[in-house]
Amino acid sequence: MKKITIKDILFLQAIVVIYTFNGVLAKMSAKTEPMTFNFFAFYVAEVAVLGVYAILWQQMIKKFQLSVAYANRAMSILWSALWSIVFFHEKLTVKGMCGILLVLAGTILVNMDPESRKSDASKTEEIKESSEEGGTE
Amino acid sequence: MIGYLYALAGVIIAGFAQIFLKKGAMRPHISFIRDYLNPHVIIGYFMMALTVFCPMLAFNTGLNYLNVTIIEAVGFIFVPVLSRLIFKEKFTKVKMLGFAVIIAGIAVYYL
Repeated sequence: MKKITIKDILFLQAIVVIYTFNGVLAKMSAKTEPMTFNFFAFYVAEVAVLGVYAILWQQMIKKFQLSVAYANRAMSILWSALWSIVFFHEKLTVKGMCGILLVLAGTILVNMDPESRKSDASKTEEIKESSEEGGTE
Repeated sequence: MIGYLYALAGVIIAGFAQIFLKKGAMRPHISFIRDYLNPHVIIGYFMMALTVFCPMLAFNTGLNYLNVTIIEAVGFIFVPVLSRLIFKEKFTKVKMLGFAVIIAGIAVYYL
């Protein structure tokens, strides 16, 4: 049975990072004058980011169990906080930092569980094999 | 109160949308385009598109960003439960603890 590797988890996190850029763009567009070129440019960029995210997410849930992939989405809290510091010079409170550390710990726990490391890709293979045997292809 | 229901409806629709997307992802790979242009994925994204309106409706009833975001954390209970029921995904104690810690983290961050 195929296993989920650290590389797969990092790739999934990269997709979560892409998703969080949607929030950054939304925040930037909120600061622009409505109905201006920049306003629409940010809107188009937001839709584009969501589109890329959707395409990549669909590929990742072939490999990951849905519950595991979804747990990794919680990390958007860390990335969003990071972007608010980097792009908007906002400050992170101690409480916020504690929350992020808990989310990080929880995500690591889910990812480390041996059950979570089983690749779901084999399920698709099983379906493929059974449909080929049945001659329904 | 109705605002919370709108927010919760958004979480529930988004949860089921993930189930449809996963069903679509489990179809045998024929081509890259067919990975997306299949009924499960199309329904999944249609449901996702619907959920965009739920927070808007919730905000209109006077709920603030924080209230809605906290309700969205319910997804971290709902999606694993659906994954367990529909895809028979196994839940060990470690995995369940992981989800509990994630939810606690979201609560600490936003409350």
